Amino acid sequence: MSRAEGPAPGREGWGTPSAAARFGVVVFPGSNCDADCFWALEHLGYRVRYVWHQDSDLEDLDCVVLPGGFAYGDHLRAGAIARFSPVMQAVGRFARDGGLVLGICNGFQVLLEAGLLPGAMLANSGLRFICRYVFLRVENASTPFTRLCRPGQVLRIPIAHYQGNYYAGPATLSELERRGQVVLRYCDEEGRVTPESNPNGSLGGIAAVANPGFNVMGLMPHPERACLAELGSTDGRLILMSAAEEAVRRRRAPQAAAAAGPPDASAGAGAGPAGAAGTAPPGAGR
Amino acid sequence: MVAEVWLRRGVLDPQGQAVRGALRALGYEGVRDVRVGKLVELRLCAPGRDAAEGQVRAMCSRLLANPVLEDFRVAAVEPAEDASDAGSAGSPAGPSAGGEAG
Repeated sequence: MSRAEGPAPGREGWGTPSAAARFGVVVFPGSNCDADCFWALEHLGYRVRYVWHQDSDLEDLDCVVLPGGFAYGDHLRAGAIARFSPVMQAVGRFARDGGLVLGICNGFQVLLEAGLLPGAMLANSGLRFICRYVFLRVENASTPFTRLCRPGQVLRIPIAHYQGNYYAGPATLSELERRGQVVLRYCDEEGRVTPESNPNGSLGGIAAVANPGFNVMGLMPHPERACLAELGSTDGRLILMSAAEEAVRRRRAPQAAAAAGPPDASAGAGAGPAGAAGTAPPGAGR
Repeated sequence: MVAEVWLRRGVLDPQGQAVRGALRALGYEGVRDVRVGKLVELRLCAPGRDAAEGQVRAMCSRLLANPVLEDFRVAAVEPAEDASDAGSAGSPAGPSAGGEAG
């Protein structure tokens, strides 16, 4: 486990140095994006360690990342078996205690099966594995994972999945929409949410959802693959850096974060729990 | 015991749609709708058929089916004749205590 002491040289303008943020990347048998997640977080200057699926000690972590891949071979249903692993019992407690949890692709599927996020995943409507860049519109820029984004901002991040077709029953869906729990939607380059811009048939073009407390988010796209300009996009950094900043804020003012309650979309850009409690978030710039 | 797991009515079944398309392309134009489900066959020891069914229903609720998307049915079936069964005591089906429910 390496410990980074701040952003590496050449990263001026990336926002607040959140080197103290501590991430844990869970590794299930069959996870295959764990190394990319580890690399991206370390590259951004945060502390990262792997968390083996049989471990249940998350004490030292601010944010747990469930990476992409095929945990337990996706047998039965993607994430269906992974949800019962020892680490997921710990992740459940961690989430209940307000810890940040980010599920990417297969990780999102695991969170859905575990009931830590509402809804479920179906096979892509076109029945094809899709591996390409998509555009995402930020629907809620007040969550811990999108604080560095503007409402309506368009992000370019790749997807790579066969089962990314998000489904929730009508009552659940309207509740999600009402409460701002839909965090990202598939859109076109101009930010318009259209059927053509929806790669997999997800209801409402939903690409990312959060739990009612907004400390758990799942997204099908891979932000860790959009952290290096040479690879095509750096928009993924915004999600990882938002989480890191929120993690550090929560560690510094846990009472404030807990008392102010969950953020919602109507609060507008920049508003968040710390604002309500009178403590200013570290200046990040937008 | 056999558990059948099906996507709920009203949930789009892309796989079923694909199979329907393929069957119609093969000339079976009368095919209106196809849904593809899952069969899970379990051999388990339980104190009787009702207990076995109860256990399998619980297994469906907890793991074998995703209640957001899927419904399930559970049925007891006669186990297939099998050389490895030679040592099991009692009749294979029925509510006899200690028997093996298939």
